[in-house]
Amino acid sequence: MIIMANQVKVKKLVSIKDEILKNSLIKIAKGTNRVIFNDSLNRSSAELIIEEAATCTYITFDQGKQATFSNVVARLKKNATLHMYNIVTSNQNASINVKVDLEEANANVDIINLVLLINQASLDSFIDIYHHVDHTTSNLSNYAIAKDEAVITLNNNATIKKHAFSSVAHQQTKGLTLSKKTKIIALPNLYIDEYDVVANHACAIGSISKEDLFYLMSRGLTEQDASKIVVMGYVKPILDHITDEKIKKNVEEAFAEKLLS
Amino acid sequence: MSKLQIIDLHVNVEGKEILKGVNLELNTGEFHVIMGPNGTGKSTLVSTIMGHYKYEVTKGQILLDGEDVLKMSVDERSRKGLFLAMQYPSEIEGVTNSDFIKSALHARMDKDEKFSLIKYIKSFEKAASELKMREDLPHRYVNVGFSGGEKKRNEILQMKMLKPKFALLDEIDSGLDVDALKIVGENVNQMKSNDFGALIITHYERLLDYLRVDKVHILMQGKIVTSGSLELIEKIDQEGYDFIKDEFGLSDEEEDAKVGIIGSCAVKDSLGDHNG
Repeated sequence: MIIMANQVKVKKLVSIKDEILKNSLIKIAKGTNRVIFNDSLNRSSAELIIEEAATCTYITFDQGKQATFSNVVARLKKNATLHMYNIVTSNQNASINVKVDLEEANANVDIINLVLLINQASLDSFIDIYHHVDHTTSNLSNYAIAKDEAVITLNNNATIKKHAFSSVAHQQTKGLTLSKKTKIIALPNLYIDEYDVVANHACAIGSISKEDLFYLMSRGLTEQDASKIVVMGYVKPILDHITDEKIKKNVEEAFAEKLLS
Repeated sequence: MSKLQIIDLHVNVEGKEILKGVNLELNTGEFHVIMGPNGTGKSTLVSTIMGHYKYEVTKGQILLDGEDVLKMSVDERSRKGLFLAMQYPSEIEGVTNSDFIKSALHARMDKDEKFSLIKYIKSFEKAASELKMREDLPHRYVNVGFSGGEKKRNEILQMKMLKPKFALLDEIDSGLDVDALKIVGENVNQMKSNDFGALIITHYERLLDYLRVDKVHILMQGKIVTSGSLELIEKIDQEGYDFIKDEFGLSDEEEDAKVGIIGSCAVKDSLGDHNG
């Protein structure tokens, strides 16, 4: 087995199986298209079974009313697609646990985590994707913004099993730290047991570019407005993926509110 | 009529003195050109006027209509009427040109002033069309995916929309093809009025074909060594800067000694004579 990246798993998905026993099972029928929207991480677990050629868009938008967590396990069949958005703007502790099994050929998963954490909150994201068979694809993108003393840990795992040839696994993390006391930790892991695959990860974490701030301020924007523009600009390309205008507007407003708080 | 005065300006960058006493006075209705060999402080001068964080003013004054510019923040300088068209403008992901300029205009408005969206859209479209920019410009992110020429034209577009008193144009002609150069030159020239003046940094005579230039200054070794009319540029074009060095008795500045450190990421040119 070839193991790429830093070979660190900060925690295991031990809780998921137990939680699933007492939580919802959602089946997306063969060839159908379904959007599921959760207005918080809602301290619950879900098991998604996405049947052949079905598409599921699973959006969670948590505005941090309380400390919370979410466990999701998804199983994808032949030609099935899962688009998952975990959007969190919070001043509370939270955890996101997702396990995805790409069980049959041409199954495809895209996961986007968009997180803005403020005050002294911490968020752990643990995403585990398994490519069990050939021609499966996964894309995992994290966009994290940490303000005040917030800490965000992003644990990204993709496992490509033996015989899962022609599979593709991408991971990327972009992080923006808005104060010196924040932390964004990215832990990318790629476990690969097959030669004919494409697997990569990328990570960029930093503060707002001084040069960008200067550019915006040289057009008359105050430092606060310029910072807000840069951060909202960071969020906007991700929101462009969301087609529901109402959700998009709510997310934009929630980000703006938390940034100015 | 407004006035921008630079008085005995000394500026350090990372502890090294770059500007060593620059004096300059510019009124609205005037276009002044600054020329000089590479590394003499031209960009330092305009960036300092705009308040770039890298430049430390150790002595001297910058006054805008008698007000102390050095006491102003960068955004205040902009709102007071200064504009820097940058040599390498930033790319701002996720912010459309339209939203950006709208925000910049809002920042200039009085509290009671109303913003007319229709008027704004019309003036944006007019400016973009005069600069022959793509129709989707308002919806594109600021400078993201722009060619070098598009970035420069976008700087001029912002200038046209924000209507500053003084524009500082830092090599706005570099990277432009002949047609784009003409468009940019003509657009800048059209703005010349009693309410607008410009300080233009360039290495090339060609941009000046489109501008009504009033004065040319030669900046060498951190000082303006001579000023004159367009004839000065023609002479430099033919003879280079050597005749100025001779005329004013300037010697070549010694470059900092470069030291190669074996075992680190020393590049070939930093090894100098030790490279065998």
